[in-house]
Amino acid sequence: MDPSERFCVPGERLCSAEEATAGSGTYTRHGFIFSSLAGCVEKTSEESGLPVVSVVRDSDPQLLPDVGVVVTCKVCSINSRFAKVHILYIGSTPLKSIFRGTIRKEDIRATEKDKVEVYKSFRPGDIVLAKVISLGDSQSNYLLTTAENELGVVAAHSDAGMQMVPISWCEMQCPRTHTKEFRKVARVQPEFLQT
Amino acid sequence: MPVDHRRLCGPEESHAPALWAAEEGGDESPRDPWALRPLFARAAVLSQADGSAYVELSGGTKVLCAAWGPREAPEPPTAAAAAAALRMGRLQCDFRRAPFASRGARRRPGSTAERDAERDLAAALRTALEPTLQLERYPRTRLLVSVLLLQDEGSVLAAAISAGALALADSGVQMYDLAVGCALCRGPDPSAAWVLQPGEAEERRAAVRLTVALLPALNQVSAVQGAGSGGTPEDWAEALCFGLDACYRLYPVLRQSLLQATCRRRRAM
Amino acid sequence: MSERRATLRRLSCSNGASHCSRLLEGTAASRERRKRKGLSAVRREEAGSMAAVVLSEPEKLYIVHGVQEDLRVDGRGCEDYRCAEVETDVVSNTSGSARVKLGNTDILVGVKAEMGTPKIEKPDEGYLEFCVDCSANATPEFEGRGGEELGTEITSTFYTVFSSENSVDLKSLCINPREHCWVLYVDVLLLVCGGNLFDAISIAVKAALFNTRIPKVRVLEDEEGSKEIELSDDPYDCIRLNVENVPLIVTLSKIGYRHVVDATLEEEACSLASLLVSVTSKGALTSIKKVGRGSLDPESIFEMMETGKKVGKALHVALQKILDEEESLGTSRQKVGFLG
Repeated sequence: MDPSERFCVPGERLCSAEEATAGSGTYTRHGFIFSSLAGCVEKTSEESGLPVVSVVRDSDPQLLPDVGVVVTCKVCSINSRFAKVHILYIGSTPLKSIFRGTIRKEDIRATEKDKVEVYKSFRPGDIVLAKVISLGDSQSNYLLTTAENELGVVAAHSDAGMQMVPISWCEMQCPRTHTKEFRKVARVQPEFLQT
Repeated sequence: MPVDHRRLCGPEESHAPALWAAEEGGDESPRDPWALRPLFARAAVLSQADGSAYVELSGGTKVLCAAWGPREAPEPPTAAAAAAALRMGRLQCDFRRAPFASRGARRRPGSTAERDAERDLAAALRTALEPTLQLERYPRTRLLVSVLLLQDEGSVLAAAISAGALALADSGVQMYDLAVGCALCRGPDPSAAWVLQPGEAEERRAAVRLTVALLPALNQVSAVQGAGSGGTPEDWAEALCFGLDACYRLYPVLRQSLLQATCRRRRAM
Repeated sequence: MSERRATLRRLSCSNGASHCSRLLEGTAASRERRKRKGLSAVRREEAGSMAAVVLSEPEKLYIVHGVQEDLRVDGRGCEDYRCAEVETDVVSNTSGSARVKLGNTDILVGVKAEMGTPKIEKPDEGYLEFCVDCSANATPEFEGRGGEELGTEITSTFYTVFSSENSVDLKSLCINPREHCWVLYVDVLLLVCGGNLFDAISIAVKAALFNTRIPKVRVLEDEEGSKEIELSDDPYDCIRLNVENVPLIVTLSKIGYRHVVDATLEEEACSLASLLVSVTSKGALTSIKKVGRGSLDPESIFEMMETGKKVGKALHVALQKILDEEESLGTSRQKVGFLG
């Protein structure tokens, strides 16, 4: 362990707000920067302006779905108006507990929204990339959208149990039985492909 | 010889043994009112929980606490509650006493009296811990703190508050500050002085009891809960100052234990 | 029970101890006044029924800035109570009852005395049992189990407040040590929640306990040692409780840098933390408790306790005067009731 590392606990005063800008894991009050986590203090100096003070923990910070982030989710049920999903990953960080979300029919694709049918887009068990558009209101939980080319189904299984391969933006095919099934298929961006 | 279990040959009238129980203690040597009971605190003791802490007072009070980071909150029952949930997360506290926690007869875990006592303690814990959390960073979620009281030898709520704050900090949720709890009480005779961190016997005999919780870095009081035979505001103010001062003296212990836990976690990486 | 008396009185306590104005009104006059207030009363009750008021940020700012200047939205100062109406003896099937209207808040308390067995720890004392019912009348949020949390919080607060010795002379409730005692069941009903529940309930509880009449009983013992309890024939022959030491709760809500007493719902929405203090008529504080999700700095707690003592003492004086007056009216008093 590096002896020069400085650890802190929540509420510890790190420095004056004039000396640095508050980074992650900190908050500002009465002109001072305080730590809001128990962790290690890091100071990164920027080329221009003040250094950034932040407090980091070794374990991944507990992310929450926020508006605008891309999440990976699993479809758990569908009906004619929406699909219910479980959010599993935020970006590439796995969540410690699942959060439920909803993809409404009109948020499935960007064009010809009135012709969308949920069961031709998702099936329970599909893995879907989606973007959070709202934290929801009193009736619903997180609202998600797949109305972008990069968003939609990335992995799905056919009735025969094989993983299907996408053949167009709206169809996938089973490699064993060669049956075609409808899906709202995502054009997966290279940064999400790990192989 | 077979015994007839259906027939009891006890006396017709019976009384609870508590009536004849000798009043124990009472002749303890007077304590230095300024003295604090040694406190042992250790964070990150449970591997399954997101964060956890164990706090023990030298008299014997033992508290184990686990904290779980933001989880999906259940559907709020009303529109107003939902609007509040959208703005900030909710802290949920659960307080359990082990059936064998206190002296004397075993308490039945599910009984109404026991449940009420646990619920009161949980509510008090929640008011004490809520100000430490940056709940507006966790909309639509709940944070859970669960306290298990293993042994009750006085100052239970205070120990639970300290343990709860440690566990929350250890779980990595964003907080404004730690909370340090301290209990104090005063005996029935008018000349009695306030003593810090009373034991169970002292607490039972006390005329006035008070539990305070302090956010040391912000110098804010997050919990005050006291009751007893009346006193002037000045009396209470004096007790409060005394208790807060004790909290400041306890803070380094808690801070040190949290730093150690953070170091341990880093080394384990 | 005997012929009952009832009055409707207003109890107002402004600026701490400075002056306590009371309006003694006959039933007719009070009806008239109610009629005049009719329209606004209805509208207010509607507002009161949605317990969680929704305030915009500017509205909150307005309230906070007003409090800073010691001027509240309804024209009161920071240490002024709203007008309270106290009426005792409103439910005939109880040993004692009271209804208190504090602003919009409307509370009904009934005390029933029943015979029970003393607790093992206190063989020569009776005891009190509190029960708070948050019915959906007060706010739809209380429907089902919704009000349970608030109910338990209020109940446990009152157990704490009444736990201190000599708040009520419990020894007088004992009939026969270790065997029989009176148990007073204090049942609180929230009819309308309009802010400051704790204070209103404590006023109602004190008034109801003052009003309580417990029938006198005698214990007869025959030669064999078996005991019999005999109820007095005279219905007027009853025990009254001494409520002189029953504390009242004063809630001090922190708004901005100041604190106010008797906050309305709107003001409660602007307050993050409040301090409950229970004050006896002599000005002693028997319990303190912080509620709410905010924190307080030590200095303001000291100030709040001082204010609590001052306001609480004045409140006691005003309430006692009303209760005594009501007593002196005797049977000539006419009942006003709920719709009077």
